[in-house]
Amino acid sequence: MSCASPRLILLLCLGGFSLSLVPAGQVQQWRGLVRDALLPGERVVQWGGDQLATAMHLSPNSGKEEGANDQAASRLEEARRRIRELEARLAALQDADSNPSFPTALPPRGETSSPLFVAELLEARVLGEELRGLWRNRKILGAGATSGIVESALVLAGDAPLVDQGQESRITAGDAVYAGRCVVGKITDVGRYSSVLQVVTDAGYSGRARLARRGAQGLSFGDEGTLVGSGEELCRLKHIRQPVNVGDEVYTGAADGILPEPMYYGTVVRAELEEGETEWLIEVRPAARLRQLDRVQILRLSLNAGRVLAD
Amino acid sequence: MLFQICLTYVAFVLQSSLVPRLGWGAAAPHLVLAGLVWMVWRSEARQGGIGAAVWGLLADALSGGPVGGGVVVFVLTAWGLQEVRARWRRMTWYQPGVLTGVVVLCVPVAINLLRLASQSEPVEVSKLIIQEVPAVISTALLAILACGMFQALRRRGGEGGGDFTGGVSSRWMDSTG
Repeated sequence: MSCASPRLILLLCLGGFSLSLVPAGQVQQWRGLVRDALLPGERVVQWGGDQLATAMHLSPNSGKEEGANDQAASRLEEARRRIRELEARLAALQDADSNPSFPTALPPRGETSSPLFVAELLEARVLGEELRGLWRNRKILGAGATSGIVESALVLAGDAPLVDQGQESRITAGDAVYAGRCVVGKITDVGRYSSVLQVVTDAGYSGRARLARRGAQGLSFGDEGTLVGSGEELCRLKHIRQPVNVGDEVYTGAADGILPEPMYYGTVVRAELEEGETEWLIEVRPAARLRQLDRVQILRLSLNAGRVLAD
Repeated sequence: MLFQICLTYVAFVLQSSLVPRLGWGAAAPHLVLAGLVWMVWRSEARQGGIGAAVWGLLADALSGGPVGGGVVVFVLTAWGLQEVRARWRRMTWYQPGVLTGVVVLCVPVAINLLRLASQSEPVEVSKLIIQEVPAVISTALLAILACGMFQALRRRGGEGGGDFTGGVSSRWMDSTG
């Protein structure tokens, strides 16, 4: 058989080089498509492997399996305990907020429709500066690229904070990140094993936000605007026309059908209305300080399997 | 064409699902590159080149690194394999292993060199080569084993011949002596 013509080879190579100019977002979509396409085959292989192991009663690592099972059981128990804690905190917050305009978290009994989207909080660790540096310099990658242990170049570039969850945890760019009830920021780039965290003070961060004031009747919500980061220590709250006081609180925007409670951004530390302007100049000090955090929660949205399968 | 499509899917599924389960770490065989050698060897020139480009794209998509470098390296590898095929009329039992071993050594090193160079990072070629050696050995042995089994099946089937000629037709063999 002959060889391919040099022209074809050159064309294919140029095509390959030009692929490096494709935007990262498109590349991520393409990666997702490829992984989804391989999923049925991977499931078949996994099923076959499990059947083979069962049939041959092969368990060379039986001791390790028992240890792994014990670890899994303890992690499950810890997760259940954490869920109970969060439920208790949620109930306490609901009691504290007596604002009648705010919907209650728990659905009324006898509700017949289930939600389309299910929100889950995934706990993640914030990589410390030293660990981040080692990870980015690929000093922890071990076996190397041939074993598929390669982190996304987007995640490894730059010096933004990283969390230790990635594609395998089904998080996506744009997922909100919290520390308890405080907003930390959002995920911007998702790698295979880690993801980039954009904090609320970073230039480029923006999110819907609204003012709130504590009074004798409890928390009352006011005007809604946009909270933006500027790379400074304080954030700016824009598009607010109603009177604002220093000390007012800033929460996430109106209910979006996902979370039953608004999440807390921070406190207004500067509020000025300049002459001739209709919008207030508001600066907000964020409540969550990344330096003080080693764990955060990522809000992961997924389709309600019951709704999807019912269709 | 159906053969290429099936081989593509099987190779990438096995690489992404079976190989990690083996638990061989750095010595895990590189089934995609072994499959690439086989695919290019059995395909027509143009088909082999385009197939290599598609495989390179898929490999880049699964690696998590920048896209494009794999395409270039896979295409050039296919071209090299086709050149070797044009010069080798018959293959002995160990030559598939040698060929596969060379490909498994060169392709990941070349891809990593491209990535590191594009990110202006220091390149240590010797380290890149050394970390591929276990996979080279395991994949080469696997290729020799697979070729041996293939030849044994062919002999049993009465097709004759003791060489690995892949998809080369007997008419071509006759005309070239």
